[in-house]
Amino acid sequence: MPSLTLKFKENVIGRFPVLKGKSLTIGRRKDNDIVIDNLAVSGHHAKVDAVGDAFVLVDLQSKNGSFVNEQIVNSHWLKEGDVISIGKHLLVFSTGDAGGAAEGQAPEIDKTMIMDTSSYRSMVQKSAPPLPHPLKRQEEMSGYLSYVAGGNGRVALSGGLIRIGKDPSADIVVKGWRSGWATATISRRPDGFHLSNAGGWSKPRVNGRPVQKSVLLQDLDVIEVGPVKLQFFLGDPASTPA
Amino acid sequence: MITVESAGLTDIGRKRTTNEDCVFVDDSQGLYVVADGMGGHQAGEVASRLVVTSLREFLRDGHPDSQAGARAAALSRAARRLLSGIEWSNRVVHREAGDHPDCRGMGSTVAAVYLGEDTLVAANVGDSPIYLVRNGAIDLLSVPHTLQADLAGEPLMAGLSHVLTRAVGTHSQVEADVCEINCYRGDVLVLCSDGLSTKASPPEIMSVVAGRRPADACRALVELANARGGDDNISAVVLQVTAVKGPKRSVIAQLISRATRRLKAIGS
Repeated sequence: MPSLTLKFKENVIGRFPVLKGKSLTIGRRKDNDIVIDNLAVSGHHAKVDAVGDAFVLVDLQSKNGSFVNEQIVNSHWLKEGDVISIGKHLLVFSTGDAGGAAEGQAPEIDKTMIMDTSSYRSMVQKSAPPLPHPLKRQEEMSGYLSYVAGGNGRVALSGGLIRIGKDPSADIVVKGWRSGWATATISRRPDGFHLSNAGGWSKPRVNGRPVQKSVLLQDLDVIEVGPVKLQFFLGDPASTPA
Repeated sequence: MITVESAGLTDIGRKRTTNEDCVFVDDSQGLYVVADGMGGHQAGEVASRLVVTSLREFLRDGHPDSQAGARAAALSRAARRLLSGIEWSNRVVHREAGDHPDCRGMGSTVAAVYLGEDTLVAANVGDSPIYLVRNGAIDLLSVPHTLQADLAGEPLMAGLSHVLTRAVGTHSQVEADVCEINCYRGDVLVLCSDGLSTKASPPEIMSVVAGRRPADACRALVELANARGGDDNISAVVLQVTAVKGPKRSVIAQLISRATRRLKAIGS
């Protein structure tokens, strides 16, 4: 028998049969066939009409809209596995003749799809009360180095690879004949800035410990490459006084 | 000069009827790519293949690099080159989508590793991850462009956890994330599609690749994802760094390193 399964998050709240020749109403008021007691749901939000052997979902000009498979709809012919979103509740439609395959579990939406964060937000805003959190975008990670010895001032760390060594083309040039022995690079990775040993006779040091390969830099770490000593700071160099 | 041993494998999985993933492995070019296409009908397949072929040709034929904004200046030549290649792929896929009604809205992820002189560049768009296995730890070098990652812990509507926020070819422009690192002998990189990364955790992926040669590791990873349902297409590219030689090395440094190696050999 065709049915709608009402879910909230991962929990199944109830299953409702959809009968041929009968309409089924969905809304916040008690006189609906499926009552969803949530302020994001209109009093009479939507209905499902039986037309011949098929069923059609009709939005009753609800305030926050009805969605099927993430698309806003006015009316929609229901297919096996369709997921209707009303507020934060989901209704999964099953024709009931698929051997119960889709019952109780929302089908996985064809996974590779694209959506803007902002259009997702506007979709959510339409169907739910405003989210309590402001947009939390991953902020561009920044950091800088400050000379402790062997130079003056600060060096901002960009997204690119920073080379430290004797080579004149290096971003931070280490002077003195001994310094050719140690070279290092600093690269930005998703988890933070990493200092790597880039070859040479001796190894760069972080907090006095030689770096064999690479190490994730922590705020205030002290880096030594030959005679140059630098301290690493997380954050934007412009936002802290020199 | 970075020398690697590499392998790539793609598998349709157990549920899908088409394979929309595409992998590319070329040691002579030093280019390794996984692309996971999307779009109805055959468009997903078209998009991922276009990404791979256009990226490969761009890097091979030496088109001029774009000087994409201020950040290009901070990047090395290899990193700029790879980013320019991805921007080029984006234009190719986007134009193709505009020309063919069947392909409207198609796009693809891209996870690419490009070997430079003495560093390695990793760049990505979408949710196909790039992992680095080093010293018994596994790190992510790519940045996932998904709603879930963008919303950073905010509650997400059901079923949307894998929705992408960026893809190659869906818009006229795209911004890839890029990361350039030094690499060392013994490092292993794993590029894959979400058909694997949603079925196996990073520590599991690390334990599968440990002690296996790349071709073997790819097979084992695909088998693992299939054994866990194989709900999506599964692709993996594994490269193992076998040697890294610095670009310039003074004669003295070479002598010293040879001497220390001898001493170590005598000591052991």
